Amino acid sequence: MADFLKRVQSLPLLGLGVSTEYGAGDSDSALDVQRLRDGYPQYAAFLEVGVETVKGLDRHAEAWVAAGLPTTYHFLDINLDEPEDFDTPWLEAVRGLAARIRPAWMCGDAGLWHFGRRDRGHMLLLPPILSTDAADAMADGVIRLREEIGYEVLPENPPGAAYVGPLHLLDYYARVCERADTGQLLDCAHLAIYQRMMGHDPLTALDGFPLERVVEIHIAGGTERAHQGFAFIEDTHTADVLPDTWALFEYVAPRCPNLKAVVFECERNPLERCVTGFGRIADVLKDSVLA
Amino acid sequence: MSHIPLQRVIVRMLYDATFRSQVYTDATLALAGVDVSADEASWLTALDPRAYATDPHVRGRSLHGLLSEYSVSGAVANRASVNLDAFFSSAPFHQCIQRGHSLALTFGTWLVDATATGGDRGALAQIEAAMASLRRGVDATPDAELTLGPNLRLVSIAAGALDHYQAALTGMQAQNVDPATAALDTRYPVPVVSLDEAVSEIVLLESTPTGIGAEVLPEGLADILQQASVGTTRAALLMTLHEHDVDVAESKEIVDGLIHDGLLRRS
Repeated sequence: MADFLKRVQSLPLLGLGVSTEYGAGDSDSALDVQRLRDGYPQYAAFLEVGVETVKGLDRHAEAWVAAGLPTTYHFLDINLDEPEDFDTPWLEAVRGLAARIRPAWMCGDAGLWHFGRRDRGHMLLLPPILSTDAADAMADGVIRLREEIGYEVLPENPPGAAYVGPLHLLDYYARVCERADTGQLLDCAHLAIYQRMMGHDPLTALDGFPLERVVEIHIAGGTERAHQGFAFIEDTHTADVLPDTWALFEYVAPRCPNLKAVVFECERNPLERCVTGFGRIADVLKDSVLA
Repeated sequence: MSHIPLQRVIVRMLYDATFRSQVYTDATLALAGVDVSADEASWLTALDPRAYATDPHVRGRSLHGLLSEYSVSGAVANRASVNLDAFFSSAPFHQCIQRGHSLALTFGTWLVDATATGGDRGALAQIEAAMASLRRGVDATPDAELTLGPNLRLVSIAAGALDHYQAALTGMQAQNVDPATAALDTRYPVPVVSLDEAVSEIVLLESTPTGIGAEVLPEGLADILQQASVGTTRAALLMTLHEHDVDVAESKEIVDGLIHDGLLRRS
């Protein structure tokens, strides 16, 4: 297999798109992806489909797929660093869904999606342990999923409040990408949460991160909260993107030579609330390879 | 490689403030028996402990999810002042997370214990725990010549429990709210029950493509299936039928019929 920096040249250029997950489009205030595509096709060039295999695709994702429009497959139910999570029924279900969706690639938060076995009530999302051993195990999982399913697998940095381990988050994912020889889905909102939580400047450690491996970027709104006097940012996917997240996106996007896709994660907000954010993202992308 | 046990410790810390405090106070003691090095334990306490407490509703959400499978037993327990939230501080909860077991099945076992001295004698939780086990396809069949069918469970509970369960479930479903919410919100009426521990019934639960059915077994069939549930032989079942004054030819016919109907499985 060619190395990733060669393989990435054959991945399609998707542009600016949106995300969904099962049922997200059904609420009254949800983003109507079809209306977005009709009114602003440049903001809905593809759909990132969030998939839990037990739920499958909802009617919105089914309609998008049936129209033959571009997609990516965002997994919501695999702990990549746990070998026993790759059970045969799950792999078969993923193969079946991927065959229907025909995504450009697979991606998803590379963290803890569930504790113990995949079961009702076990779902949560936590960052990985930020250690070299855990990064190596995560890289093994990325390789295994890529080999089992036959698509490129891009790990994404998850959100969180409790980050445990000696590595900086970006150093952890740099190690995962190098060892798995893969690309990164860099979530700027999640990274801003981490940097704030650790007391870092938003751009800390980016100088050591291989930006040539960034294939996809996520951007989303967050909400500043406090509990028991402890300030943190919750990853709420509102349309109001925080300044730290903009700072990250504006720094990173023009510096990623292999960037193929950007997602504005605003799936639970009405279109009118999202248009300004889409416009600002599109402006930033004028200075990127997606221009 | 100990990142998995370490992750599981973090989950326990997210759920249980008391455990979290113990880790900060004396990690060696709190994590005794867990495959986590002293170095790794120090990573856990390197951050502000409040970082583990940013989701104050984590227990409530999980309890609501669990009660979708334990709606009747949870509702009755909740109205009998059983502190359901205490599950998330219990030893079974911590063992479940650390060992990667099923939260729903662990909760069922805990709820049976927590309600054992109550009016339903733990029977409602036994019924719903057996259903949870069937939904997960847990293979409970022993290695023997004849066993219970894999889609079946038997529970031995106080007499009248199944009738009460079905009546309570029907009543809750009629309230036009999801059963887990009805279980937690005591404004929704749920009938209390007082069962006689000394008189029991054997209930057969059967998982089918359309759901899980339940019926009280007559005494003779209950004896046969209870024997099969722990593993038995054809000869032993014929002997049991003989003790019920069934002649040899009819006994063979009964056993063959049970095998044919899928109630008994041959190894």
